Amino acid sequence: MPIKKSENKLVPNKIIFQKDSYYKFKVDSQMTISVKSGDKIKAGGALANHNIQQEKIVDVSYRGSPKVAVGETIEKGMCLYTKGKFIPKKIFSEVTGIVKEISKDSIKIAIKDKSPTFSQTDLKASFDSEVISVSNDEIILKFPSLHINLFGSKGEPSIGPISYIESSNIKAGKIDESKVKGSIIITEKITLDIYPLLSTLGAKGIIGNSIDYYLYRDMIILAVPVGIISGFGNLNEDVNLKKYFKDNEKKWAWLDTSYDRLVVVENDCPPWAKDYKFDLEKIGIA
Amino acid sequence: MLLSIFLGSNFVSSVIFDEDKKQFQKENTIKIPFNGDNLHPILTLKKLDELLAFYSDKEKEYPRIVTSTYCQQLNIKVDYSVNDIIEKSKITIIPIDAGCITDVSFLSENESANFLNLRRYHLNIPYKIRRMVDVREIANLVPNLSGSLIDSQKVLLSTVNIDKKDIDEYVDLCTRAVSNFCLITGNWHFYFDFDYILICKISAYVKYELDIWELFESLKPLSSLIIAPQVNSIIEIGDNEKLKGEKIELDKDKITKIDMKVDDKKNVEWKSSKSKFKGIITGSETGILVDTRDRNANKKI
Repeated sequence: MPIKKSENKLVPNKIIFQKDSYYKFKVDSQMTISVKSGDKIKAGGALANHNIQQEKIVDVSYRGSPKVAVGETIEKGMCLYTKGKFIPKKIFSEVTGIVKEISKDSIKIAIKDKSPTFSQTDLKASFDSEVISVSNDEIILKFPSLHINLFGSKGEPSIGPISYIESSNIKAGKIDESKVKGSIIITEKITLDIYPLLSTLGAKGIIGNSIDYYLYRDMIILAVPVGIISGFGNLNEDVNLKKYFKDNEKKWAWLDTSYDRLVVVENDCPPWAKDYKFDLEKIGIA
Repeated sequence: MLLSIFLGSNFVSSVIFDEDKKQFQKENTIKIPFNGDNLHPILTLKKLDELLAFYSDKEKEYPRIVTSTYCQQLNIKVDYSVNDIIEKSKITIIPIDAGCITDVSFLSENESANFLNLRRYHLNIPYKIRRMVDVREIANLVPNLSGSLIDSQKVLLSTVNIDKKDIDEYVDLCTRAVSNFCLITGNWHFYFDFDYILICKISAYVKYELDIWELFESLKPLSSLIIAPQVNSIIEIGDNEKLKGEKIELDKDKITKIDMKVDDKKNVEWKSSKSKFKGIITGSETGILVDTRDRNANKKI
């Protein structure tokens, strides 16, 4: 049975508009979630707050006679209990706090945890979204987005505003550093020079239209995730995608390395992206 | 009736088997289209059904068996791996599936980029690269097939998408590649499956526990290989047991080709410190390759 020789060189789902995309925020155990399911959050809105001066309980086990009472405020160095009948030995508190409970073998002391000195609202929504679900340690947000399915990606997922920079402008001393810090940088080709420079300047992610295969293969431990749009070698950029990235600087995106995709927050599908087909011939494959 | 399906990385092959009449019908091989959507598996049951549009709804309802190379994550229940089929059929099957190659360091920078791009987008890989990739796959698979090669004198090389004009060279290339990486001595006939259909048929025969050799009765071996390390430089071939035929001079460092067609039967005898043989050999469409090279010195081939 002969196999049909005609090949499909137009990829149909390289770019997909999704009305409902989901992003999961992991919330630190020292934070209190400040949103609930169904809330509509504006960009910059608080999702969770750090618990400043959170109460911590220290459990001191003992054998002997307590020398403090429940409710008593104790200072570090005060005698907590004595042990030994004939020559009682004093055991001193190593913490400052309030005695909460005394049982036959432990004294529970509530102390003020002074360690995180962060601002009151540490976890903020980066873009308009709706809270879908909230649990102890995660918040799931729903938002509309444009998915750009990548050829491949590596590293841990990251989120940040996108910024397109021509490869020729990614040079030490020449590059606009403010465009790099905290952003997901998109460029024509990731090279051996570009990756370390952009990482050092604080990029949150680096996406290239193409990359040399052996460079990609040998990237093992990545401080900053990498995404590839078209493939390996020297490939042409898709003109529509390039224009889109250039026209949409600062738009928030999520480089999802689990599913090899760049998810750009978009309220509506851009007209050019409707039924868009990625032309493999034009980018130089096939 | 049974619908036997083989799933390669980029291809789906299928055939309907009438177990009562032992007949096959409606062979079909189709490329799995690349749809670009990374969020969903490249092949699901729904997509497979779309690819089987060649069959009527009734035919699609026949009991199915699915055999696969297991090279990619499938969202489909697979009944047999190729290894299962080898074990049950006692035929040595070498499935060539470019999707299974993970290390491409044997290719140049440009070739590897080209190969990986084309493979990812499910496009045809040029023969110039295919031949290198397929030889590498043979190198990966054959050393683990020694047990099967001892049991079976028939070897099935199952592949897809080889142009007609390249077939002769491909047959020779693959047979030599098996010889390069085979660790045991023996005499084998090679059958080639150029659309993964024969593997579907063998799976169907395995399913019904039928005699697999029947499938090969109507097939002609495309190549034949004798591995006889360090035999004396001359082997004798004749039309009868007295071997009063020709003496063929062998080069110890090369593979020698003997021109013997499919229906040719000859008595042959050789002796060496490592192997000896006296018996009848038969030819193939492209003759017989005789490899007398020392296996240990063979590593760099």
